[in-house]
Amino acid sequence: MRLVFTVNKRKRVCRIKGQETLLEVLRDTLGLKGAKRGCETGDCGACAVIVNGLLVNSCLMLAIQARGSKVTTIEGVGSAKHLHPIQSAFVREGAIQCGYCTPAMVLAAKNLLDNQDNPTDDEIRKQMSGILCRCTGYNSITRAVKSVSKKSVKN
Amino acid sequence: MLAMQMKLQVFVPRNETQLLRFLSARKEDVAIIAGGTNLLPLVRTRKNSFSWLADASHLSNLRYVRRRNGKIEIGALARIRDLRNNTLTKAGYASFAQVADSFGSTAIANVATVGGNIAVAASTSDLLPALLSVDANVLLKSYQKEREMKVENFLVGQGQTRRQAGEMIAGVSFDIPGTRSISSFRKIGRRTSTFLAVVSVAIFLGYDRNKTITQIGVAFNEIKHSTPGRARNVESYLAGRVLNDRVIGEAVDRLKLDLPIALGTEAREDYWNRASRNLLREQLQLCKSKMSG
Repeated sequence: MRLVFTVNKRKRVCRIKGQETLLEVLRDTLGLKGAKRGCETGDCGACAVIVNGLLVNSCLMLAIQARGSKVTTIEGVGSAKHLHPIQSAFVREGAIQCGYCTPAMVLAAKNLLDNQDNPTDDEIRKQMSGILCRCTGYNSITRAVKSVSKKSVKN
Repeated sequence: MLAMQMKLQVFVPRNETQLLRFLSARKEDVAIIAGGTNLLPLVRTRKNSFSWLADASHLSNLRYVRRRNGKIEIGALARIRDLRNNTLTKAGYASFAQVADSFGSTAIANVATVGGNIAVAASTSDLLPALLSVDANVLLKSYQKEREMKVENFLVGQGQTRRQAGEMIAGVSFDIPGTRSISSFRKIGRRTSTFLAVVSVAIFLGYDRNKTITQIGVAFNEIKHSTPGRARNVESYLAGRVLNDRVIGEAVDRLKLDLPIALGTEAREDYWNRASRNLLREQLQLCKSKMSG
């Protein structure tokens, strides 16, 4: 099957198998390894990406379902030289340990802050609750998100 | 990886008619995929008997939450997040917003569909108790015909429904309640968020100016055969009564008549019994205070 979609503001055209998931195409076809393969049942959230402005688990979406969509992965957020404010906040607050959940956490935070300027701690925790951090850094993650909530993080 | 299912093929219909025609031709050999939150894990573990997936996720004519002809209608492809909008809460059905608020993670609620949640017919479905409590109907469509039945009759057992080969769930509908009505939903599980229900209860209650209950629906996620169902004994006791502490206590005691359910282990049954009684008491007390307020 032919898949045409936009990933990190760049048009992509791929040949895919019908049963391939968005996660598989992002990682194995496009080489975007930021979205992680975890439980593959929607429990861990490590594969989360943003599709048409909505946070989704890319392991639970067929790639063909993303046809015509705009997908944002962690590779489209900031850069090694110029971190996104949320990424800077994660570094500053020590909200990273092993890093496995971090791409999904950053995208979940971005998705929340894109839609809500000043979320409460409860709203932040609810948004992040679909992503498991086995290093148990939830308090620092919440602090990091809170610290940038009043700043512009739209880019 | 899904790639382990080498024979699985995907069909992308242009519209609903093409989807129905495809279902009619392939019968049991096809499953409809929209949100995929239940189906893809199933496929991944090879617990599927079909070799085709029909992607319906883009069929926007099946995605709606609307008032029409004195009814609330919800399309099968409405996302769970769509239930947070105020069409339902304005109509007096807060329970659906509560279902949406406690339904899995943001990422799951963004894509999971009403039709999918009904089709799984599982005790983990949050939506089914809410639909049962309002005596909802489910609309089934095939290429040849449409038919409608009570959600209660649609459910047969764990994972089993009366949907026939070639049919799809098109939507659900239920009456717009009178001004004197209350609905609520609550679930408990192993995590404080993003969790599957171990026990959940949904209540819909209509009452007159004397606060006598005129309409009642009490549904749990497991009531018989491990499927969601209505607590008929509790309902028949509450009908025509005024909620007070004594009536609530008696209603909670009646819950045992809606059992037994076979949950497998004594410990689990004991937990379920206690939890369901406590949830029912809590939600009836909540209804009582809302009626007073």
